[in-house]
Amino acid sequence: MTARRSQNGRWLLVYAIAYLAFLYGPVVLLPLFSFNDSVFIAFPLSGFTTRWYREMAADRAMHAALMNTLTVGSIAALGSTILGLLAAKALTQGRVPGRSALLGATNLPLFIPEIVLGIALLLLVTTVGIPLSLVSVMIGHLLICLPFALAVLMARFEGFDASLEEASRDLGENSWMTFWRVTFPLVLPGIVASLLLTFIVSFDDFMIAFFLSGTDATLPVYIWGELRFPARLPRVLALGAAIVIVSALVIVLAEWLRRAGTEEPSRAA
Amino acid sequence: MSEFLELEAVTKRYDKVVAVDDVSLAIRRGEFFSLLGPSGCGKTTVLRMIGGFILPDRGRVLIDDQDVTDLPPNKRPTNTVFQSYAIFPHLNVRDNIAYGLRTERVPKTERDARVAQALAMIKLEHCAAKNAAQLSGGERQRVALARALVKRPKVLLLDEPLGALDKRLREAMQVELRQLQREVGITFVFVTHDQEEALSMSDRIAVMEKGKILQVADPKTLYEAPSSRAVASFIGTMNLFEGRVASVLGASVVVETRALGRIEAPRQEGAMLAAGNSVLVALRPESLSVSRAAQPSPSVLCRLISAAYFGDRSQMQVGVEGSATSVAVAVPSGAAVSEGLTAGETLHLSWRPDGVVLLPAH
Repeated sequence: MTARRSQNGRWLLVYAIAYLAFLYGPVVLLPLFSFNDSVFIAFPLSGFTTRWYREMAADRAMHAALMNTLTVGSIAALGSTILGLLAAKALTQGRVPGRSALLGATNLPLFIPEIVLGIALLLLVTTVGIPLSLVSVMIGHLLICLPFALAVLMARFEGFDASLEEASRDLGENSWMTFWRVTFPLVLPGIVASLLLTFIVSFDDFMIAFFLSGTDATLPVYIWGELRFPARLPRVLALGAAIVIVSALVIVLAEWLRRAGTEEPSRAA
Repeated sequence: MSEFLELEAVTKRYDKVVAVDDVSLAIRRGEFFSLLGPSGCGKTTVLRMIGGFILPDRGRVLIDDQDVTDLPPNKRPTNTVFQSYAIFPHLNVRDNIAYGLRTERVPKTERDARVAQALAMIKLEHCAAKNAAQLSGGERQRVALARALVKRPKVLLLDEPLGALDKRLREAMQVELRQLQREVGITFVFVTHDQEEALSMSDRIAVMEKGKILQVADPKTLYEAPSSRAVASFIGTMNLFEGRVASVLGASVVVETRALGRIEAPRQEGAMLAAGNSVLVALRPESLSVSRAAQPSPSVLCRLISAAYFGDRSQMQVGVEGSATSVAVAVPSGAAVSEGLTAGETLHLSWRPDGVVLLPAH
């Protein structure tokens, strides 16, 4: 009985290691080859270098793409979180006719293949006459970020006692100040989680940006362009490694904030 | 007496359901007034209309001669103790109580003084820095009360504030709340579905059913002289017997009933009765008594169905010929009849003539 159990345990361990290797192996390859002193991505490794990082840091086009991505991501995150906040409040607390139909409509971008969505947006943007630029990318990203913002914020509002807002009104506060003194501090952890998540969604997106960015490439579109030049591949790996590390830090931060928000909601203000 | 808070023919409907149907009320200054009724009777809707959370479809709400019908909650001289207490979870007890004073921009020194006074009133000085999550149910209830009273409202609205507490704490809070109301002298409007709670605390009670007010009276009148069958059966236990007026003789009425035979009742003031009218004879369990020996007073034979012991009294259910439902009789503990009873035993059932109440048949 005990032997059987320990054997099961061993298989479980093997499975767990295989699972992690499969999941993170490709990610480990990125930093590994980014420090390899060769333009060829192949074993055996030929020596340590930080050349690719120096080249990356000196690449003006990359800087521009990074700035584009940060701008688009920040605005898309802020915009979708504000819209999501209003929608989540209305959908959880108000009497909204056709509630489920509305929810379905906002979640639609999650289920439409991105390439279809990209083409549709391209048609829309050109028909309306918005030039292909960061503005058109922002519009597209607002659309794909909104379902995520709504999901995070609705979860926060579901657990929100509406009588707290009534108590604030009752104690003499108007609806605007009630929002700032009661609603906002209580949903703040949700707002922060939504900002981080939607920023990552925007940061990640290639397809929509590919269709809508015109000449102002975002980082993924820039990377896609760089892949045409084999000599620049190690530099892309260095960039990829840097992105992985920054993303990991952001996720750790978000998780830490989320826990701080649930363990002691009272300190959120 | 001055009418301080008035509802004039207010009506509120939701789709097809009439939640509050043409209700008029006049509540006096400094009164402890209860709205009593089963859930869904419209009592909370009435309270929320006074507080401004629900606007009536028709009718007016006046507080201290000011028409507040269209004012939002933050512009009304009312404060509410919510059923869930609605203590702000991100603020400590002190900041919860100070919330409404900050809104009014009360200067800091005065604000601190009033908060300290409110904390002393609810005897929770040692909890000032605690968060809502660290408070017990009874403590939350007190904080909600202090937070509302520190605003010095003209009317305090309480929405079943004791419903979430266990029985002993609830009874202690009933006494405390009543005392507090006398001390501060503020008009309280109290919503409850618990008739004992309403009877023990209120100056006057409005009994509601299906969006309408059935009767407004002080607790003693409601209990001893209910105006209708619905009020009589909602408040306490009431035995009802169908009958027909046989004759009216000055101050007393003689009614012929199948269950109790000829029964004499005092004639209520203003009651329009004539021989031949259908009426209900109502008798509280404590106005009835049972005995093994025949009584000189009017009595009928009955059969014991069951007896339940309550410590200070036993409640017996007896069957009487001519009455479809069993009759409840309260027997004080120590009474000779309560020894060695067996179900099915035949007893004599008698009643106190002054305990007889006549009600309209419909």
